[in-house]
Amino acid sequence: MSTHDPDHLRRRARTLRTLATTIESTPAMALDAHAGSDTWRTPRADLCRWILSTNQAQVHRAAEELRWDAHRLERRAAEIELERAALGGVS
Amino acid sequence: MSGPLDGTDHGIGAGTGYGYDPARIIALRSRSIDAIAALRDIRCDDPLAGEAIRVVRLMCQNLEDSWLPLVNSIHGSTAMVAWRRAVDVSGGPDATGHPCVITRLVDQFGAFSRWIGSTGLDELSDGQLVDRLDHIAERFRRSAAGGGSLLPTWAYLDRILGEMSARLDGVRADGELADLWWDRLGPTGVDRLVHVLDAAGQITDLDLYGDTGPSGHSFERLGSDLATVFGRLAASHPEARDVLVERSTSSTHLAALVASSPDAFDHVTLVTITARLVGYSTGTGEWADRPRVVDRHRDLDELLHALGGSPMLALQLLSDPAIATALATADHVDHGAVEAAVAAALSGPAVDPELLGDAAEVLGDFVAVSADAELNLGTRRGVALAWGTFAPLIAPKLDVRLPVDVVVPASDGPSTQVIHIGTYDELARFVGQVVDDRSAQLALGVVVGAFRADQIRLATSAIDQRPHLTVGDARAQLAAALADVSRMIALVDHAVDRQDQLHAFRHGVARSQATSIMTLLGSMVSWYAPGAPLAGRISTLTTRALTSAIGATRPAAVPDTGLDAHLAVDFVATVLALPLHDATLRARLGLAGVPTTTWRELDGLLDELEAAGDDDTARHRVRARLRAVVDADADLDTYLEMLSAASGESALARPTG
Repeated sequence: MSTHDPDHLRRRARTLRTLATTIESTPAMALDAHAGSDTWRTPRADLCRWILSTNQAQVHRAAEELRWDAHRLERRAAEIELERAALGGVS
Repeated sequence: MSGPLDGTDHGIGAGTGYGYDPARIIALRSRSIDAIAALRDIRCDDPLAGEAIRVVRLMCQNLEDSWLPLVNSIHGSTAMVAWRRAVDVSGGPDATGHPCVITRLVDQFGAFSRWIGSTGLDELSDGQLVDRLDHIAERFRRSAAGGGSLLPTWAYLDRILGEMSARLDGVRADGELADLWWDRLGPTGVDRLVHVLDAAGQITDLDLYGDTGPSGHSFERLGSDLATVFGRLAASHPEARDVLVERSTSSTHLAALVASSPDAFDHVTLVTITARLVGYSTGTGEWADRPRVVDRHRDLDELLHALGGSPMLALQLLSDPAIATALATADHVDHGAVEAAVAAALSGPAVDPELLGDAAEVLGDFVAVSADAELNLGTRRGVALAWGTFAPLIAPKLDVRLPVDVVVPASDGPSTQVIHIGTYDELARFVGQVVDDRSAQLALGVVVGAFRADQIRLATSAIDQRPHLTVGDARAQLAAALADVSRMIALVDHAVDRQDQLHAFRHGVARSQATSIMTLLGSMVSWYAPGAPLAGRISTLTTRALTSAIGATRPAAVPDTGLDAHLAVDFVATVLALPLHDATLRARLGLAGVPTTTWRELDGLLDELEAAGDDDTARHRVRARLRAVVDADADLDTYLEMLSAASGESALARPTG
């Protein structure tokens, strides 16, 4: 039932957008700014930075996916409302 | 290795050492803890959030397992503690706590001491390092087996291996550390390391993280580093080598092992490893039930390239007929790698003449293979490059009516052995496959040309030993030596359907021919005019002939009939100019009876030839008139015929069609 409830779909979309914003603004996403070569300089630190940057890129991609999913949910909500409106007009 | 920060960014890649800023490390640690806590708090139960949450968890795990432990290790390092104690001694604890203490210290020591160097593992003894490697290898193996994240373990393992590689520079010399490893690890420990390397190889194959990471960090590098370490261990400790070979389930590191230390592996091991790499079972079943990587191009390529520098090892490898067959027909192996290994193997006798029999047997195997299968390009080119090894052996045996059986010294005594290369037709079919590749054909041409140069050199050397030899006898001796060359060229001709398919071959022969002419002319002077002041003039003339020859031997310009026209004109001009300008030489060459008017006529024609420059039409016209003048004089005609035969022109001058 929930998949046909426009309000529910919009709530989910808001949740996903919020999550996207949250994960992109989490402190870990800015950790690299404090971990440059002026902080530490070792091969392992270099590797850690790379792993971090890889994870950050993954987070950004995941956030974009969340926003895309949110967009799809909102569009679906709008379509349902239009369908219902159309049906109401017919009846 | 380590040093203070002097305000400049040295960077890891610059190799200027490691370091950290204590104040920033403390701040980073605090931020890292906050970041992990924030990540842990992120939750979402929406089904569409699953991937995002997974990524967040992965990031959190990496920060917990890899990032924070590193920060903590630096934060709690001995250097930091010692540093704080130094403050305590000098001024007592600061009431405001560490940050202030740090600030004071930084102020006190300035930029010079702001960075504290540390290599982390350099405080460990060799034994402790090996124990650490053993432990982390087991963790890595478990992680790989369980499908968990390998990055944290890999990061640490990579660091340990870096330290170990740095310490291993002198292992081959003293073997002490290798012994220590072996004592500490034993077969079980080595087995764990093999698992590490296998896992690294599998991960590299999956390309999960791309070919390279930043600063060269990648699983591929990990595998390479570990293979290098193993190679050193194997080189200095045969028992460890045997365990590595025995326990391995992957060919990845074995190929790297052999490539890094080929001399450490015996024949049997080498054959076994390569056989596995080409997907071949020795038939004993020993390896049949073991996991094999049959398509490891890079590994096999690396191994074969390494063998390319070791003719004796390469020959040992190819002495196994099954491996020779597999390598000669494999289509998934790098052509250059096969070419290197085949050329090296067949050139083995150049390193050790006693290997001639083994090399001939390998050649016979290739000939047999070519009867039923197509040789790959690498084999064709390798055979062509090494053909010079067999040319003196095979050429005298080339007769369409007889099998090509060569006689070589027996490897195990003073006697000889007969090795069957094949029938004439089989050998021709084999050569046909070789020259079907243009690169191989060109190489074969150069080698045959060099063979002719060798034959001329040997014959002239023999003639030099007999100062009273007549011109006619010398000519006969040269002709006999060149007959072998003619037979070899006839074999190549027999191998193809049409002569115009041999442009590249003739190109190669012609290039070598220029050298032959120089050799010949130099020898002519030494035979007939020792001490004559002609060296400078000969050098100029023959250099010109050589230059012209090279310029005229483009494949499309190589005629079907022997010497290309351009070279032929220069050849005639050269050999006529020599006696023309030197009366003494004329006498020694048997040309004293040639009338002065003829020499004057020739002199004029040579001037015309000089004036013709690169105009081929004009040059051919002048050459025709030169030939007419020469033909009219019996002595000159004999002289030119002799030189033509000696240069091999007649051998190449086959009728077309």
